[in-house]
Amino acid sequence: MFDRGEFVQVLADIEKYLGYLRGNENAYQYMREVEESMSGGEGTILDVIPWEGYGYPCPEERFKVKPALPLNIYVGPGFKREEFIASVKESMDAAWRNGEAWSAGVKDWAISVCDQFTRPSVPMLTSAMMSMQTQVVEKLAIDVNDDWAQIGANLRTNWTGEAATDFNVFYDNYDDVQHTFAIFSGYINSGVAFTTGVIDATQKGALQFVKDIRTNLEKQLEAWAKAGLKPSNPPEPLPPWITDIAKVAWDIFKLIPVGQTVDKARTVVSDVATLIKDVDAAQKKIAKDQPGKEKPIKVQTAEQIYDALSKTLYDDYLGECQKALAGLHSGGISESGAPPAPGEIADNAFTGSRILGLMKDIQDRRDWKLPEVSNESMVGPGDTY
Amino acid sequence: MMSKMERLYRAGREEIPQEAEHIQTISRDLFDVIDIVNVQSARAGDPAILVDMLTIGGDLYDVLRDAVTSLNNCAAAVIATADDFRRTDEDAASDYDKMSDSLKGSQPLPVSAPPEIKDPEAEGATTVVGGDDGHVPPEEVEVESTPDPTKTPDEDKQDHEDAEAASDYDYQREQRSGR
Repeated sequence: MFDRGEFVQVLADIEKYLGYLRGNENAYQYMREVEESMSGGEGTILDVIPWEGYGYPCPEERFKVKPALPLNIYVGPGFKREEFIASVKESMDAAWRNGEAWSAGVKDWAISVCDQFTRPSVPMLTSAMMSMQTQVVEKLAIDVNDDWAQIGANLRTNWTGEAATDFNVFYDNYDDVQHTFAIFSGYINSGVAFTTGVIDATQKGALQFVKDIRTNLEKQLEAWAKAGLKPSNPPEPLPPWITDIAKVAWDIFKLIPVGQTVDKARTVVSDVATLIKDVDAAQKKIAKDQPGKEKPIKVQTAEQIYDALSKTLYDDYLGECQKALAGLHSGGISESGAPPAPGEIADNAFTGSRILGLMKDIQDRRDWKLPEVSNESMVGPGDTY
Repeated sequence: MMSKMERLYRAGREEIPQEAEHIQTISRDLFDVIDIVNVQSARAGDPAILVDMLTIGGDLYDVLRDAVTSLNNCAAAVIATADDFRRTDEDAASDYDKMSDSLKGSQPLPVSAPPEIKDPEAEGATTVVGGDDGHVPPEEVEVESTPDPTKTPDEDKQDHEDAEAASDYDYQREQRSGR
């Protein structure tokens, strides 16, 4: 199950580790700048500055870089060695801490990018769709029975009192309206099930992705600490997981019963039951079985890792999730995630706007509502028993 | 065979009230479902597909909710009709006398209509928390619709670069290089 607290914690780790890595890169860059600025000249001699236990001010020992090679600089007469060493170390610390200044805010921005798919509760949505299926959809799916209260048509159609008209319309249409509502409540559940499946896959995929990014960061930081410098052979990055949300959406979409009001209610109800069962089953296995997509990403330097994190969360998770949900609304859904090819989506395929249109057609025909019924006697003048 | 009078009293005192209860139960369950979906939709930034579904759900709920009141009235109207016949027609009165005492004496109470749902398709959601166990009073809570991110990755990256450039270290580096 997706745990938003865990997701936020991984992002907090990423922000911290990005700061460490950027700090290592900055401090290394500073060392090179010092060496370049003091690379010799007339009257200078080589001085080798040892680091003697100095390490970057990283609070985590396992990632602390202790420069392995001394600083080689050329100095002239009057060179104040001790003052110089103290000043360089101070600047190295500042350079390293600058990495933290660079990475500050990564977590909060990433959270804001992911809020739309991490704030919804998949268990709540799942329980809602299960309850909708058994307590609403299936209970409304009655067999059509024009004499549902067993009054007898011959009896009630003889009543001519003022209250009789609305009563008879209500009585005649009651089972038809329930039949229609069984179909439409099934469609509501289809839309909810689709959304739940897409959000579930996005949550789980994004959590896996940020964990992969964190693992890559840890590997890079360990390599820096081990090398004591910029690693000459940085570890090969793990390819981070990117869920193919368009594929997940397409797989669920294919299970949704088509949007027609002539369908028999029981057919829609059983199709929706299958859809919900499959979405529920998919949620249980989605962490390991959901389709991924290949996308080469460079994840070695802090900037590369930041770019991979920000662009993937923004485009491949939030963007694809929004696109899939918008696609089910408008009919813009396809197997590849691109706009659907002609004929890829059937004319009567389920889309939110189509189902809404079907409902409005029924409302315009006044077949959606039942009349208000009065509680008065329906016996008119001259009516006989 | 059941007399017309018995059929009317059964409809008014048994069949229709049971139907009213049945629809009341469905409506209450639908109310809970719409409430959950509405809150989760707000959290998800109110995507159009859930707004579509909530629009349909809200319209469907309104009809079911009104149907509970109408079913109560249907039952009362059928009984009023049967009572009228009983008073004005000898055959009806005779059929009534033959009816079982339990049917004559049953007086089902009207079923209460479930609460209203106001525009579940509107942005955000209002829900009630607490009140389940009797210890915490129920409280109405607003759930805001989750907005889109305020910055693109490029804009966010620029902010990080600006933060770095404004740091002490960069200032010192500029001083050293004489820039």
